[in-house]
Amino acid sequence: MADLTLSAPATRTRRNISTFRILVYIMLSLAALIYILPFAFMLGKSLQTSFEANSTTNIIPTLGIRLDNYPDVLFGSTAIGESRQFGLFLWNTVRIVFMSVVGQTVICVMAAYAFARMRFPGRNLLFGMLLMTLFVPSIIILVPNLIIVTRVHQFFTSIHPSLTWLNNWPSLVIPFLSNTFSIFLLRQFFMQIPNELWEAARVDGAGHLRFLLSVVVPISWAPIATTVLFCFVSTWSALEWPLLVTSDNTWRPIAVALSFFREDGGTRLHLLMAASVVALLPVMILYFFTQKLFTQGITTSGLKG
Amino acid sequence: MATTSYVAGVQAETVAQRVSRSRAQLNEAILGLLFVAPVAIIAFIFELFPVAYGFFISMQGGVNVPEGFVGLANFVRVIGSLAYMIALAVSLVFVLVGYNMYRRGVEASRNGQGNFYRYLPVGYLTAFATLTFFGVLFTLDFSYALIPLGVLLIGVLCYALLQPRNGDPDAANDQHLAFVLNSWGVGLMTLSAVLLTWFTFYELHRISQPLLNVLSQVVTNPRFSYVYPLLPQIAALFGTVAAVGAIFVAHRVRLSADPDAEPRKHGFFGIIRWLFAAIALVLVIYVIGAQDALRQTLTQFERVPRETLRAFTRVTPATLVDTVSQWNEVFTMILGLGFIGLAYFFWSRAKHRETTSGMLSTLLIAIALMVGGWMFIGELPLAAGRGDTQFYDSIIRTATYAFLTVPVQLSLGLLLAYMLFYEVRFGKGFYRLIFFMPYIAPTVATATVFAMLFSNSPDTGPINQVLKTFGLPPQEWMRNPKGVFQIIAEIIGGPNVRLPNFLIGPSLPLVAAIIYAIWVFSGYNAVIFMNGLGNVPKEMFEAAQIDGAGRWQTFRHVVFPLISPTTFYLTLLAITGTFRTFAHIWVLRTPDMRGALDTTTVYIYETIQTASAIKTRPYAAAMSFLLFGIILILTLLQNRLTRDKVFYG
Repeated sequence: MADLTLSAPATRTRRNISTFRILVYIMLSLAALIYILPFAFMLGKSLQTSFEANSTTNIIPTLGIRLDNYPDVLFGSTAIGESRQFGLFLWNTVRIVFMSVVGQTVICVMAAYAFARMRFPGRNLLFGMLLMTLFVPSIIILVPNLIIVTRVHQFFTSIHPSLTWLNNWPSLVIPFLSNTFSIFLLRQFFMQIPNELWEAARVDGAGHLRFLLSVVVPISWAPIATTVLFCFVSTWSALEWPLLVTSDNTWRPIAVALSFFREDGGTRLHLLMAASVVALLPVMILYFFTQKLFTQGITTSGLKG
Repeated sequence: MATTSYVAGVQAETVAQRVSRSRAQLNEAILGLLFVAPVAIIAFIFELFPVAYGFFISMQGGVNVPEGFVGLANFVRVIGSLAYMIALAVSLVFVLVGYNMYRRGVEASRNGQGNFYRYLPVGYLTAFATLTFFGVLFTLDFSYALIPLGVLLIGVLCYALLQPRNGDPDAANDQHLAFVLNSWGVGLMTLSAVLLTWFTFYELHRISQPLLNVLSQVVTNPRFSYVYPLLPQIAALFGTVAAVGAIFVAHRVRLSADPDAEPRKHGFFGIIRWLFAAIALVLVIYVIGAQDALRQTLTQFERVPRETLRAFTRVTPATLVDTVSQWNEVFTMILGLGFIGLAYFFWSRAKHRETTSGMLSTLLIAIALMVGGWMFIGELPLAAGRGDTQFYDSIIRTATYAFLTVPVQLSLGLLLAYMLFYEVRFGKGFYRLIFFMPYIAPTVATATVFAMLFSNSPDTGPINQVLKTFGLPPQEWMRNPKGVFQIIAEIIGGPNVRLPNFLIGPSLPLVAAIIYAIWVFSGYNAVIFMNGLGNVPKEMFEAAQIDGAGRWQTFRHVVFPLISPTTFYLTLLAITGTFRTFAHIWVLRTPDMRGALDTTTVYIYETIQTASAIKTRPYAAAMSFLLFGIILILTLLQNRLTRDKVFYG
């Protein structure tokens, strides 16, 4: 596992230390400004009144901060439409993300452990099969998956009418429970756990399950947390698939709802931006607190998941 | 007495140990399979099986769910008769892969590691069973599934019987497994190739035969009446000759690339080779004649009065000509590809020629063949032109998007990473936090903001305000389908300037999407490049500085070569990523643009969402497979081109 190296070699050339470095700082700060501006625009507009947001170019609210945009967006109002409650969409997303994260973490940790430390027939074959999934672009499996999910839906509803898959959480969660990238990352880490630990645990009478739960999981919290974060972010931002399988508000996630609002948002910029902030903020808060895990995970794997 | 009991005790202990060990192994195997089961099942149902199922769907009719087999019709609707060509090319790839596996097995058995030939019949048997089993699976009628399963079982039993008993069990087993896989692969590849080729020509025949019949009745051309009943047979023979030729070329190219190869043997195989070449030549001449007859007939058909035609068929003359000329196109393209393959063969042989004149003559042959092949392939755009123009446009749009995004995002990322890594000591973490933010942020939210930043409004659109402060006219970013370079040229040179079509550049909405992608992925690339820079040994950097290398020289000659693996990896990721890109383009898109932002994924997605009788979901599946093919080819191409330039420590 390559660590993220932060220490640059001390390159102190004697000449033009100051001017060049100041230039670099100015350039970087300019770049950072460009990076921040869209976020600032979003936040600023979301706090403006309808008039200021839609008819001026101000980014900073000058005609008074209007916090009412947020309740409007969260609980629906006449301006945005009574049924368009981003609070509900947020709650849907939270539920979907929670189920995905828990399910994915449990089954991926188990599989990664088995691939890394257990001998069973067909291990290499199954792992090779999993790696093949990395080469499959999502667009290619969209149509077949839609039909498979429809068939499964029909099968389950024929057992009992309430066991729906379409427009319900199973179709949003279950197809994404297996994440090859997470398994790969965790397997790399589990393989590095010294065998002496396993020998010691076995002498103490622990089996694989016990060893996994009380030794492996505690010492590998960092990679597990990384996979949790990736799962969180990718499920939160997912658009392609949820757009196809959700047909009303009961399970519509916030990304889908926001894409619809963007289509007919029109001149309600302040509300659109407030909704964007609502969709963005949880992820950003998570990112600020766990920034190091994110960058470490991404630099070791190079993928978002 | 004491000794015997001691020995017995040891033996008893080992037996008990062995029993407990084997029980532990069994437990571990069961537990391991249980651990993997959920992932394996889900990955199979929702990630791997859909690929095969999607391929099956792409050959079906029906609007939302597949209803009945239509063969290659969907593919033909997307890319015209090029679809037949691609099917044939895929079967050629099957043949070559099969040949490669066969060669590997034969080489191993030549080295005395077993007898590969004994495995071949079993391999064909098992492959046959496998293919039949999949065929049965796809009909979703499981009543016949037992027969192929039974044959498969027999094959597996035969394999078990073939397993060597004596000698070192481990080594023999390894070779045994390799032989099993190779023989099965050879069987699978050859059978699939034969099936696919047969199927392709069958399809072509099925679609065009009724119209060919009409043609032969409406137009009386003696040459054509000889040719047309034989068309599928000629085509099949032609395909076989092409496949055998391809194996031959692959074999020779490999031999000439291998300096230790045994010297060429003439004799019986030499005669066969000449015979084969003669047959191929005759076939080529015959096919060219057949093509000419077909073309002549079509020309004559143009003069036939429409009333005469109406007595035979309801099909419009244009459709008739289109369908029938597919034969011509397929023949021509096979010929062209064959010529180019031969040219490659001669080209690779040229460098092994001893004399200059020999080399020159071989090169000349190669060039002549290449020119000939190119002329034949010239028919390709015409053949492809019958397909879905929206699909082509979307591919061009995607390519433009990739071509303008990837270099910029990579170089900006490298620049940022380099500055951050070598020049900044305070606030490095802060800058990284900022630069990485867009990548983590939900795409829908940030893309919505960009849609607002690039607003059409000349008075409140932020980007338009920026343009205004520089004295430039505001633009309708989310509407104007004009090319951006055309717009720039109009601003500079006045409203009457017209740029040539290939220079007008991407439309304004696409420019917005490109800028968004650069904004997101530069930061991401910067973070990964920083990791790559962290792996550059400090000593090398310092040595370059001591030797008096400037910043640029150090970068160009020390740092850049050392981070080439990172660059390679990021390029690969970026190129395939741009061809898969979806979410932000979907969000930026409005009906106003009239498709100016429809990249291939978006076009496919829209087809899925609004499936109609013309653009069905199976049609979308066909398009997605073509896109997948493009991504695959790009990946392979990039691997091939940059392999030698990457420096791994």
